[in-house]
Order: sequence, then C-alpha cells, then structure tokens
Amino acid sequence: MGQLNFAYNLEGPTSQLFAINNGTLSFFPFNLYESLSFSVVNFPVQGENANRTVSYSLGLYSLTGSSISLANSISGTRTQNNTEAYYVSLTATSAAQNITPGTWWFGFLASTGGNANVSLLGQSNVIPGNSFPGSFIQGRMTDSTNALPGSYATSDLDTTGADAMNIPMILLST
Amino acid sequence: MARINIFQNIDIFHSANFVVRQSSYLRIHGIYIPGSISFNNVAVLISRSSNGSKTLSLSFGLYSLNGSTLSLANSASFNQTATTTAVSWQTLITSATQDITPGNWYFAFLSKSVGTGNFLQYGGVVGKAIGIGAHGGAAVRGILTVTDTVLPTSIATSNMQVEGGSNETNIYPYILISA
Repeated sequence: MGQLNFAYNLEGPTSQLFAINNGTLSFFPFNLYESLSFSVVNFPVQGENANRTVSYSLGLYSLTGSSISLANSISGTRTQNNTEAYYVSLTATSAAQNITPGTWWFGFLASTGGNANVSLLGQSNVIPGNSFPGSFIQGRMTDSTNALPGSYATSDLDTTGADAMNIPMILLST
Repeated sequence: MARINIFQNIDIFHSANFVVRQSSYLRIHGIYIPGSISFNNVAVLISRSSNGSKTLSLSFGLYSLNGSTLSLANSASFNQTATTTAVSWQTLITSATQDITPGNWYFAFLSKSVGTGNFLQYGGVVGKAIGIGAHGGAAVRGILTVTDTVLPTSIATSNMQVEGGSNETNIYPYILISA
C-alpha cells in the first residue's frame, strides 16, 4: 500500500449546507484507501456577516463492534466576519499518526461562538425515515457535549434526520 | 491492488451541474486512482453551437507530486475541427502508453478553440467558490495561467492559484480514463 498526499470525501465544496449545532457531536464516515499522515484537516464553511470565533474539535474514531473509539484528534479556532465561504484548516493534532487504510469516522464538534450553529459546506443526502439497517454508518449525539468522548455506543446515537445524515466536505492533506 | 477499467475524476452521474467554460487556464485537479489502469483512452464531454466552424485544441496532462512540484508523467491531446454540435464524447490521443499506478495524481486540462460561432463548452462541475484564502497542506485543486497550448513539464504548486484564491478555481472539467 502506498502513501497519499491528500484525500477527500467529496469532489469539491458544494453550495449545500450542513448545520453543526453548538455542542452537538456528529459522526460521519471517511474511507481512506491508502495511508496518509494525519497532518491537516480542512473543511469549507459558509461565512456570515457576524463577528465571532468558532472552536473546532475533530476526533478520528474507529469502529469496533457497536462502539466507536477515539484514536486521535485535531483542533483549532477560526474567527470570521465575512459572508464568503472559506476553508478552516486545523493542524493541532493530539498525536502523530500515519492513518492506515480503512473506514474511519470523524466526530465533529464545534463551539459556535454564541450562535446556534455553524454552516459547513457539504452534501445534503436523501433522508430515509428509518435508521440504516446494517452496521453503523453515521449519526449524532443527542446530548450536548463540550469534549470528544473516548468511546461511545453507536446504539445511543441518533441516526435519522438531516442532522444525522448530511456530511460536510473534508479534505485531509499533508 | 486490483486493476480498474474506468476512472472518472467527477462522479458525473451524481453531479447535478454541467459546466461550460473555456479559458486560458490550465485547470488542475488532484485525484485518487484506486487501482492500476492502462492509459489507453482519455475522454471529455464537449459541445459547441451549430453556427460556424471551431478548431479545438484540447490538452490533458497527468501529473505526479514530488514535494511541492508537479511533474508531467503523460499527456493526451486533440487538435482538429469539431464536427459535432450536440453534447458528445471527445477522445484525446495519448502520447505514450502507461500503466497508471494507484495513488494520488493530478489531472490538468486546457482547452482553446478558434473559429466562428459560439465558444466551445465542456462538461464538468462548478463547485462553491471559496473566497478567503487557500486550505492548508498540499495543493489539491487550482489553476495556472498559460498563454499557449503546451503543457508545462513541471509546475511549482506555489505558482498555482489554488482553491480559495480565485473564483475560477472551483470549476473542474470532467475527464474519463478507460483501459
């Protein structure tokens, strides 16, 4: 297996918005097909005409059985006061890691600087009324939190609705 | 790694947009190819108006990244008068055989046309324009201003206008490689 310079889950930023609510942890999958150094996590955000600072924490999680476990994390803040879309680039990883190929999950947590949510650019999916009948794909915590959990039972996640099924664009780069 | 017969840089069947653009920009799109594929056929989607006669110059470059420099590994081109007017596949002639190995590569595409009638259009995607600053890490998408139809043999990524620096960088042409 080779080593990648970059990987992304969507071909590019779209105009579709994915609202991350303040203090709500959302998990979504990311397939990595070759190894990649966990260095920079980029995601596009829709700006707004308000001056505020948003703090982001992303956990890199793996799934074992019905429990999702924290393998690493990356965090940072971004101040915005512009209505244009922009990339947030996080570089402060909690540990060095060469991410191995496979399906990982990002746990996305934002402290949204006094607003109810922050709008990420991503993909609005078809929203089924029932939960996916197979193994866990994605979902969100129903309780508010201010920290990434070390592990979480997927059975306790909300796996229906737009807030559980939409995904932001993520670009990993070295 | 398995072999594949088809690779497309944009999942065209799921993309709602169909882009139309022609310019003097070399449009560079970093992608991941999941399996080995023979560099036999390179195709794009084009259309042009029914009036006039257009001579097309289409150039495709396959680049690899070494540090912060893109190096030309292979290419394909088409230089002829277009005969069709409806949206159609247009294949480009490859310059050398190659078994493309899995991994990150960069597609670069340049189109120019001369002649009468409306401008040439090609299929692709117009993404959301990112207005403020580029993302961190390795360059993935961007444009390079060029004045002719010759693909550069190497491109310093620092010379690219990367995503976030120009509202042209959100436009990606659709390219299909088949074995």
